Amino acid sequence: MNASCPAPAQLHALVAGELSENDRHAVEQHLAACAGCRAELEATRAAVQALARPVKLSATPEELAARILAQLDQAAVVPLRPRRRAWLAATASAVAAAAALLFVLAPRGGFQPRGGGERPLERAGIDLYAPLAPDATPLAPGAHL
Amino acid sequence: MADVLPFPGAAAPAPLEARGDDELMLLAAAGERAAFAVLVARHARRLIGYAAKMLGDNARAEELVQEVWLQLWNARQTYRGDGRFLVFVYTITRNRCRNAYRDASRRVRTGPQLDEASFPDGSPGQLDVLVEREQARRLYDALARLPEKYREPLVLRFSEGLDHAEIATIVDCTESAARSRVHHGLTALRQQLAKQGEKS
Repeated sequence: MNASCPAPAQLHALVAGELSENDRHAVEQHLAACAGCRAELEATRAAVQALARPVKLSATPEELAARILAQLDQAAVVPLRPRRRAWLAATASAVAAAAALLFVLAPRGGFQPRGGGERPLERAGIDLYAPLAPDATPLAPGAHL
Repeated sequence: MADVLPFPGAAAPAPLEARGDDELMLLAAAGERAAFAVLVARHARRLIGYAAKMLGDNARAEELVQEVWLQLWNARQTYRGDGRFLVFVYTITRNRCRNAYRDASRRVRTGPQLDEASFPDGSPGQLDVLVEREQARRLYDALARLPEKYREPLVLRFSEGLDHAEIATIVDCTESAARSRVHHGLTALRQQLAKQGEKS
């Protein structure tokens, strides 16, 4: 290739049919006189033809469509994939086992807070549940304040 | 009994095969499976071709495209009907291909996989079948050696015939980036094919 040769991008655009009429004419004129660029063009064209070659299918498009429609029916009656169901079952079993273990290991009187069951206010001598006026008599039923 | 005259100006409804993709998707959204079947038959071949070239595996490509159609059926209500059905369905296929390719990369890659059933005996002749298989193997092998960012736009441009604007939408880049990636991808593919030629 020399300085007058078109850039590779121009050869690619020529193969893809993306060049303007003027540019295409100029490149084709150059190609007529440059064996190196013709070889480049042929290699590019071969790569594009390889890409464009259709893939062989195992069935006709109509057979594929029928196969896919049949799958739609199957999908409608299978709400969860087996793997997901297995995951849910495993989680439920683990939760049930943890609950059973807690039940067996729990002390008979229930769980007590640390520090012998004494609450901080009790340690300070404050009884939240003591009556506000120990010597007051209770109101008679139906009495008004 | 007298013949019933058609209502003036009323034309017979067009057959499903003559309707556009958007109209078929609208019918599919309304539950019309026959319309969906026409869409599948119309585009399955090209989608499988795209997936096969992206994955290097014809059988996996057929499976993957079946999954794409199932996904599309489940999401048929969400299609906006903006005349870009192909871009929509290629985008779904592209995303699934990326995931499948990465999954396969984590396992041991065994090279391009060509389904034996894809090359039936007899037509157009056993020798031609062998030539076709070898051509496909070489292409898949060369494509597998390209970076994904080049492989995707390259296949969409020259295998699927999409323009740069459509490619940019599917691979989520600018139009000029899509154009540049197609160019670099084609250069890289040529180099890979040339290397294969030297080896053989």
